[in-house]
Amino acid sequence: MQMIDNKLVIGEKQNLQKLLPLLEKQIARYTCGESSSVRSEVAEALLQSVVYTLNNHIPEENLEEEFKKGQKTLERKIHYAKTLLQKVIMNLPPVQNVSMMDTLKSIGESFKKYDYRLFAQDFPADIDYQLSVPIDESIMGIDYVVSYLSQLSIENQFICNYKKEDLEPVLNNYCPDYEGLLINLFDPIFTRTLSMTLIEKQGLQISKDDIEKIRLMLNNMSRTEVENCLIKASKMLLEPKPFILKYCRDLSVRICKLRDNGGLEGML
Amino acid sequence: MDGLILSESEKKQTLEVVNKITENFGLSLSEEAMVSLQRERMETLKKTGRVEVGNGILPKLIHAFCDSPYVNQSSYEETLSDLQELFYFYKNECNDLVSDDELIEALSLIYNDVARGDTGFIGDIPRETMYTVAVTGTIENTELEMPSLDEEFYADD
Repeated sequence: MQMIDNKLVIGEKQNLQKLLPLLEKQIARYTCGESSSVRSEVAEALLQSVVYTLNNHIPEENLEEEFKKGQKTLERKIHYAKTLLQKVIMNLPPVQNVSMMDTLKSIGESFKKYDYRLFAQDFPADIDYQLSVPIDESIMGIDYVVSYLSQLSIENQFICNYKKEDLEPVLNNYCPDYEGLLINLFDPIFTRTLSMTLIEKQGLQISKDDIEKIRLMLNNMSRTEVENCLIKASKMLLEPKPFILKYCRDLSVRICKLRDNGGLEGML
Repeated sequence: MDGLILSESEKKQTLEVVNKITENFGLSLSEEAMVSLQRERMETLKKTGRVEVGNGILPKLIHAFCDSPYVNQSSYEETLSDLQELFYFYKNECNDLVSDDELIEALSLIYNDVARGDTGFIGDIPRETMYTVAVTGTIENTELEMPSLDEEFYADD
């Protein structure tokens, strides 16, 4: 029993005591009232679900009512996630990736299996397609799916700005088997667009002169200055979402490392 | 996790309820015995990796076993302690595929029939057999089924 105490996010015994009536009901629901006890790992998952449904906040009173409100919120999030999925499917980029399609299929199928009443923290989908910036691992359940699909939708919409024939050379250069391997399609396209924006150019085609201009521009900049330049350029292309800012920071690190080792041309 | 242990008032209430059930069979539990059984319950739950909320399985076990010819006052507490341990052990062994009532019914059937009040005998029963008895509600067609007198008679020939 102690192990539940140790693993519980909210930790304190006082909070656990408050949640016991709800846990008792959840155990009864899980066993259909046929068993008064469950394995500790099941109890732990049920308790995590209760905490997740309450949005990690244990109310002082009206616990049952707050729990029901939490479940209603989850239902709304499920509905929103389904809408987002539909939007992503309707706006697929002109270039394909097998893992993206498999992931979207798996998410679609998992809505039927998602047991938000008992195990809300666990959305049982195989999400293999990598985003340009991974979703925070601490985000669970339907919240993870909403965050994932929101970002994927933005990434794909951006790729849709270009025609297939413009995208293919960049992607082939980045990874010849971009359709079959577990790579992110947005990453090379966005990096190229950002680079071109830095020298006030549009499109994906880059010349040796362009590369030289970019190299000279970034040559004497500190990492933070590079990051700021990238953020400024990204704002001309996309809304400054947190993942874009993180992307710019990560890219600035990559650029500075390659620049210092003379490999910037290869990246561009 | 103290929260899963009964409060003082709940303990007394449970004790009164179970003693009321068993008084006609000449069985009763003292407050100390109840405390001891609750402590053993917590230890068994910990040992078997299970979590239980509410009153626990003891009242149901008492209800099912109080009319057994093999249960008497002198061994009452010890028997309940053994049965409680067996219950949680087989709950795991049967992968939670049997309900509390089915398992208690199976334990009672075996205890009063082939085990003849020997809880040690029950602990040696393979899980497949316990599962079959729990699901079918009979020891027939299991290894526990004893040959009838006729079969024994002809077997000697």
